[in-house]
Amino acid sequence: MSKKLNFLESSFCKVLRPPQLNLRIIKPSSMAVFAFVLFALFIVFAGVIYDLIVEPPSIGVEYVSIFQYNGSTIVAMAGKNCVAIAGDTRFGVRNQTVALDSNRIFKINNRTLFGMTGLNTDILTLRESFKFQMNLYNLEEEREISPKTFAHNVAQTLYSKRFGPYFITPIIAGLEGEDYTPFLCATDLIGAMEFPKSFVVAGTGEESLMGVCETFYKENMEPDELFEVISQCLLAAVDRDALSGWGSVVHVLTKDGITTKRLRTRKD
Amino acid sequence: MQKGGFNFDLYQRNVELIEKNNYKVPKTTKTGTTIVGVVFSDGVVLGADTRATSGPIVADPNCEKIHKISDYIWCAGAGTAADTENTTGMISLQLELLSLSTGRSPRVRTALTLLKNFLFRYHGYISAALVLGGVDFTGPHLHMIHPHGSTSTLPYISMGSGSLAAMAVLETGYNSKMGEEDAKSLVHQAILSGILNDLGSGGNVDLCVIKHKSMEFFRNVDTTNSKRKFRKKLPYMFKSGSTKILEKEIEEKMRKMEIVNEKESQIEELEEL
Repeated sequence: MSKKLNFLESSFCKVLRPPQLNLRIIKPSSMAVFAFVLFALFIVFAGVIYDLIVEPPSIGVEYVSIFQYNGSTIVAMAGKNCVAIAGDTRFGVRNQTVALDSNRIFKINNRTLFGMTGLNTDILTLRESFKFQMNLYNLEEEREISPKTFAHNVAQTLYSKRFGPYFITPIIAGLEGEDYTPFLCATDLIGAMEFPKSFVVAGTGEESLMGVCETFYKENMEPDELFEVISQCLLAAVDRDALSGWGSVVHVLTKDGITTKRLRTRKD
Repeated sequence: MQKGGFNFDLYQRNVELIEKNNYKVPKTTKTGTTIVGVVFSDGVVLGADTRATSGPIVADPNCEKIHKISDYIWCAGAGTAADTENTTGMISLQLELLSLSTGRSPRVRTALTLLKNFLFRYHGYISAALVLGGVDFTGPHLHMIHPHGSTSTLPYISMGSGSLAAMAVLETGYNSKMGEEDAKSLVHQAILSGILNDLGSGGNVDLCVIKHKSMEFFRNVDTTNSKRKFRKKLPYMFKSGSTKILEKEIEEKMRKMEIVNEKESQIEELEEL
């Protein structure tokens, strides 16, 4: 034994020298140990309670916009004496798809189409509200409302709820006047209108839509070509948006009438 | 039907929806903006850019930010777009009724008082920052109005997110004996400075020159920012029939819905309002 130790000593200890630590052996009192253990336990339990109450774990997404609760996309484009408006038909609640045939584009009269994106309950409420207002208008004025007047009506309805708004983004597309000039209008949720000449986009897929519409849009398109362009734009954009899709509908409005076509989209 | 004024019916529901479920407050269209006003010897020049933003996205690249209050009183607005439009619209209404009932042409000071009283009642919740300028029988006037209702009367004003960039140009170039051309070019340079240096401002330059009993509105004076240099020369072409259709329905204008073939009636009808 001593020979082995001597061997170890001679080979290792010559190279490796342990450090010179002048340690005192601490002998705490039992009260001090108790206090230390109690303190450590308190820290652990307080942390657990904090995690459960102040920042509780939850399933699903937090801090997203209320506009992503239902999810929808609508685009409208102007052509030569014609307008087209297209949207998807998915009705979902957060990540769950509930229905595939929810219609968000409505006909006001032969010259005006009106689409809304955003919270579905507000879409349905406003549809009834505008139906009521338009019926009264037709009875009182004995004529049909022009798209521009209807757009101002929508903006006024939304702004009256300035401090408790409806969560929708409306789009109005129509043909104005005797020579059927295309009219497009989009507003934000409190009624700030914009009147672009080319296209308007709204909904959860609006950012993809802006890019693809800027690329494919041309001026003075005939109705057939307008249909192709708006369909391709909508299909491309809903493919990149998880909350839209599951079917789409395209309306092309010309002075002769409305052509409605349903397209096949990805079902995911 | 609806009464006038603001309707707070949905306020409680929105509080429950947004705050209790931790949703973000939705973004409204803002006019990030550079707006500028300058007084010169004969009148007032107002200038504005034309960009309206929704968050980081440009919602409208060519909107109108100079609103008419009366024939020779005009107002440029920054802040929430819906607020500036509706506030200036409301005050323009009130001023027209007032001038009809008093039989006198309206004064800029009257518009100022109406605007500041209206905005103060809402304590800044109506986010409209305005540059009010005009010429009435007492001479040219220029005022700035903040969203909380405070006002200032100054010979040159800039407001909005690009106000610092524009004020730098104004401070350098302003002198009290300017003529019309000098004032127009100064305002033009100030707005351009805002457009180039501030991310919230962009688009084209709008100018409005108001003199005694005359008003000229120059819409889109400077459009150097609007031309897309690198646009693809040959546009994308989609051949007719390239999109696959599941169902098709044609609704012709003068025909009633009952006169429809049996085959076509199987297709879902367009929901009519």
